[in-house]
Amino acid sequence: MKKILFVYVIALLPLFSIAQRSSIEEIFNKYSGQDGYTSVLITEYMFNLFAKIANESEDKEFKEITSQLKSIRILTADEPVGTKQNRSFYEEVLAALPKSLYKDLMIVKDGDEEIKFLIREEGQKISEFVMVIGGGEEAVLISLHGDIDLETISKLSNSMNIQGLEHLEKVDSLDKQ
Amino acid sequence: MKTIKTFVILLMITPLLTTQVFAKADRSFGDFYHKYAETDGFITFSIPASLVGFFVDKEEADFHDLLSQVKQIRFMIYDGEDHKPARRNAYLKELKQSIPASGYEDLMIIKDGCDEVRFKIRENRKTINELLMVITAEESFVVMSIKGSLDQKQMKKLSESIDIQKVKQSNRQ
Repeated sequence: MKKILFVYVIALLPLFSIAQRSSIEEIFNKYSGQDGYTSVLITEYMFNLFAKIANESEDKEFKEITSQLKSIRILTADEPVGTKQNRSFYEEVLAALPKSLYKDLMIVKDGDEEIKFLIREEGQKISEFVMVIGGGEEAVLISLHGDIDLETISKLSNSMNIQGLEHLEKVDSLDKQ
Repeated sequence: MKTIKTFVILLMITPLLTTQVFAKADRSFGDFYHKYAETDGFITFSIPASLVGFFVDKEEADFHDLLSQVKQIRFMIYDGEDHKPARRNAYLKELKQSIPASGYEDLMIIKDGCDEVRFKIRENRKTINELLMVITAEESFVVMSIKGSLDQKQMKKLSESIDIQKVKQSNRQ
């Protein structure tokens, strides 16, 4: 009996990891499509395409950054939602990220507004990078999936003209651990 | 005897299954396009290869080889402002079904509330056969389809340069 149980648990383990990997996706899917929220999803396929296309020098930096990325998800609340609502979005997102997997990288507080950077490591590499902003005028969630290099992330906002990414420049000041 | 029976049945079913699959793959936006081209609420037009040059920003020098690879550009604009929600939703559902999930890869999805812009691509090995842009809003949708046999670089250049304003203007005439 014990043996069967053991095998059963082992068989289910992959399911657990899949479930946790998609906690950002769940939040993203919950809010995208709803009134007052703007969401952007850029797929791995798109990055592969860019990697193949970008030969010109202006795209080189972009190519460097994106060649290792699997996906980008950006979720922003449009209108200046009341501070309370932002706070709950912020808290909901943070609650969905299990502390065992997502480590705080940096927390920036600017009055009421709080920006949190988290990463998820797999081995020596960063597999996911999450930025959450709430409490002030904006509510933003950015999630990058892939093989991530902190130095290049801060440059991403220069190449991609998407609202919300400018906060990534703050990462530049971090020392690599 | 039993195994032979099951084997024979399986053999008979397989062609049915494969034709289903092929049928689904054949069903495309093109069918949807033709079906509703004359319907109230729909504006459709297509630009054949020879005219594509007119709508493309000619400031870019290296377009000739690109244009020669584009077979067709199609636009479909549906404005359901005067239609009942049930009818609008039915059209939207049918549109979504006409673009099968398999065969098309999502490139980018942007949502603003319930409005959505989606870029999809149909690729066959290394060439791109079709680029689809689908914009859906509450009461309307717009679909643009570029067909051809482009390699990825050409496709990117082409999609960047289509001057949508020109297309709209010529449609009003």
